[in-house]
Amino acid sequence: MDWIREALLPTVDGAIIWYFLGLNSFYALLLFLAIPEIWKHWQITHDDDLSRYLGSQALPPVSVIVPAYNMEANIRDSVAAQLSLQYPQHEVIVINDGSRDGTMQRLMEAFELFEVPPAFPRRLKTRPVHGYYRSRTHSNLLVVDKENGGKADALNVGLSAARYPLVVAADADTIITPDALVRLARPFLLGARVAAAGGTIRVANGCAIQHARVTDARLPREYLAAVQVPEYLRAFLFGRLGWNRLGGNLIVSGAFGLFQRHYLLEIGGYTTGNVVEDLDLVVRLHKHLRNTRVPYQIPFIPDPVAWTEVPTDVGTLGRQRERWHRGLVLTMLTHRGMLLNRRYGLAGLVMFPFFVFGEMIAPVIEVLGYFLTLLAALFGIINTEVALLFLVVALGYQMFLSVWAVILEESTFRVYPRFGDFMRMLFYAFLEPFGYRQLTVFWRLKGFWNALRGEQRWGEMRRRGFRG
Amino acid sequence: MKASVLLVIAVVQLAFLGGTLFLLIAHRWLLRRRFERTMVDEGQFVGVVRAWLAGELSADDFRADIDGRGPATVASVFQQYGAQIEGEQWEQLVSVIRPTKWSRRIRRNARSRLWWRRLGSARLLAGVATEDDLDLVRALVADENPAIQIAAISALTRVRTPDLLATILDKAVTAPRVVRGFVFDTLVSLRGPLGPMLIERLKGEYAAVQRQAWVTLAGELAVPELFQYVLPYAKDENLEVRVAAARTLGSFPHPAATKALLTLLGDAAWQVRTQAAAALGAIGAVEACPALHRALSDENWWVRLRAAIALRQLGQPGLEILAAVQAGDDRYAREMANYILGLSAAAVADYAA
Repeated sequence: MDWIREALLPTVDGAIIWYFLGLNSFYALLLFLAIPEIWKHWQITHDDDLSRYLGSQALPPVSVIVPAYNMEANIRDSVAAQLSLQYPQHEVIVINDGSRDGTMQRLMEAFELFEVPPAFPRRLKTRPVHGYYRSRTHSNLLVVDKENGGKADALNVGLSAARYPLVVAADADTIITPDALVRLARPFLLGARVAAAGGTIRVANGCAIQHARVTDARLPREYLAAVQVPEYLRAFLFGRLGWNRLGGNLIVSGAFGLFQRHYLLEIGGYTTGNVVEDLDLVVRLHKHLRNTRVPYQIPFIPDPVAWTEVPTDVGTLGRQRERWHRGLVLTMLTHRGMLLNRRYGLAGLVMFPFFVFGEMIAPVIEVLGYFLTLLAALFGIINTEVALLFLVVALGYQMFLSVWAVILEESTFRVYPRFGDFMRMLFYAFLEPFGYRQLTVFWRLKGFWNALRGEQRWGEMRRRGFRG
Repeated sequence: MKASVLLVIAVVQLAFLGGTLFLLIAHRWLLRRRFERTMVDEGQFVGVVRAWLAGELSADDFRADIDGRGPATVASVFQQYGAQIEGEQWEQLVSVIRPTKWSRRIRRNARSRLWWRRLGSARLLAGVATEDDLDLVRALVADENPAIQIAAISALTRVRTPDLLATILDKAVTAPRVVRGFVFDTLVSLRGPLGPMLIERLKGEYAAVQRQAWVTLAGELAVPELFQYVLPYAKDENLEVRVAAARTLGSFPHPAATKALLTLLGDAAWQVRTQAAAALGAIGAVEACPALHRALSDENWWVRLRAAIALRQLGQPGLEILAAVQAGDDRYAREMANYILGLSAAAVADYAA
């Protein structure tokens, strides 16, 4: 057993520490790259007169695709909000994905729908469509009633029926701020070769909401929802902004993202059966555009905001995080040919390796670290000083990143105006590494295991719905 | 070794976290105080603007007041009241704003090495530029930063010379489509000087991308004098140019335009046929009904859609054709006719836009 004590444990222990330092240093690099990015965006968006763009016909028309499943309670307000988005020309395509409640009936009544013949090109293979409906009150609304086939299948129906060159995929339970579309499309005005663009997703729990609009941004009262606020800030404000300077993003949120429609049709739309259809789509988009040598950008734009309800019970949150990680593992395995492949440029050499070695295997390494610490304690070879310092550094790193996300938020958008909310946001940024992080590691590890077992279920998502 | 590295990192982290926490809280507190002061300042300034608009305050008193305020307050209030101020009052306002210290400083920033300062300058000049700023506007519209270009182009509605317009026009041609569209939108408001410039280019020999741009701009200007110079482009060898020509002819309700569009409706490329069908509907070419009827059986979905919409736009003759097709044998034409006849007038107008 001496070789375990003298060779194996110290080597693995050292490897884990350097892995940890390397990974967190890369996060820090993303953070530093995010600073000039957010500065640039802030300077461009600050005091910009959006009405100039709204009055121009230059911005390409947009089709907003909204898949809806069992959304009876909120569907009317949600669709009305999407229809009233400020944009020179946009249509809203609602896909009722075989809802078992009264979603379709509610839509029929609220928007005076009438059936139109199926005179739409079928560009992607999907589950059967029962009918297409237009509205007597809103000429830019199309509702498609179809057999249940999942979110990806519903989005593919929307892609076929869309008539504009840009499409925005938005969840029916996501609240898009009125000027978010014009902000999301602005990169086109700046001459960028945008293939897709993602906006910021924020936590809607706790906010005052009226007619599917956030009227007063507040931090949630519940611990589980509030602790996700700094987590979302970290993920969006520097995680994704930093990638803008490293070749673009490998993920555009499925809850609110803009795409060039013809590229999506070229890659065959969304992959049905994938539990994280948004990640899979963007990976395939990178792959396709690299293979066809089309110059492109997939930027993250921080100022267009969509609000989403995050899970507030441990079960739902666990299922969500397990599914996200399971999807990540499956997507990485499916497209493993991109890993360290020079053909895919920065996507293959930086982004993909980061997602594989940084995101995908991180929970495994973390749990291995805990296990080895226990093993070292059993063998009596633990260096208490190093172990404690490592713990302090590990927690400090996470707090450092969360606090910086709050700094970026504070120096730019300051969405939460109240001092009390700001202090609580800071408090949760410090609190996150204690307990919540270990929970997410457990869920991610479970996702990893389930991906290897070939698990494909989506899992029930319990939501309270927006009040107001 | 490991312990010492970790110790250094831990100490740096602790110091950094403590420092940033203190700075964050102090920053929030200072912002709050500044916000309160700004609100008071803005409230007072709103009162001054209202008094000036009502003629209760002389231009000199207004100038004295505005000079003492910061650009942020002035910009914020004018964003609220800008739409109410126009014509002579706006010119008065410009004459008040321009001599202020901050306005001079921001305009000088047009030559700054820092792009965000040049951007601020371009945004101010878009509203208050005069002939004196021509050199600054020229520099800003040629800026390498597209955000600055876009902002500066709005200044053209206030200040312009033929050579500046020509430079912008020629530069816009090679810009990405959306940027070009935005520049053209601004240029369209300057019909007078732009028409002769465009005729000169339509008569010349240019590459396909430029021909397409000139023809598109001609459609947006829709000045009758341009028509005869656009017509030959309906026979252009380049597909994109023919598409642009078909779209542009939809802005000229003229028998010669109808004739050219009917030829384009038989083009080998579906993109051209689609655009030709839409244009025939836009100019109300009733004589095109038989050709549009045939286009309802086109192999391409988009051509069928645009032909059906055009027939609906053409009134009774078109409606009769659509009704006849509903009872016809061609399944695809029937479905399209059913679809378009089922739409509300608003939906048809929305489609046709």
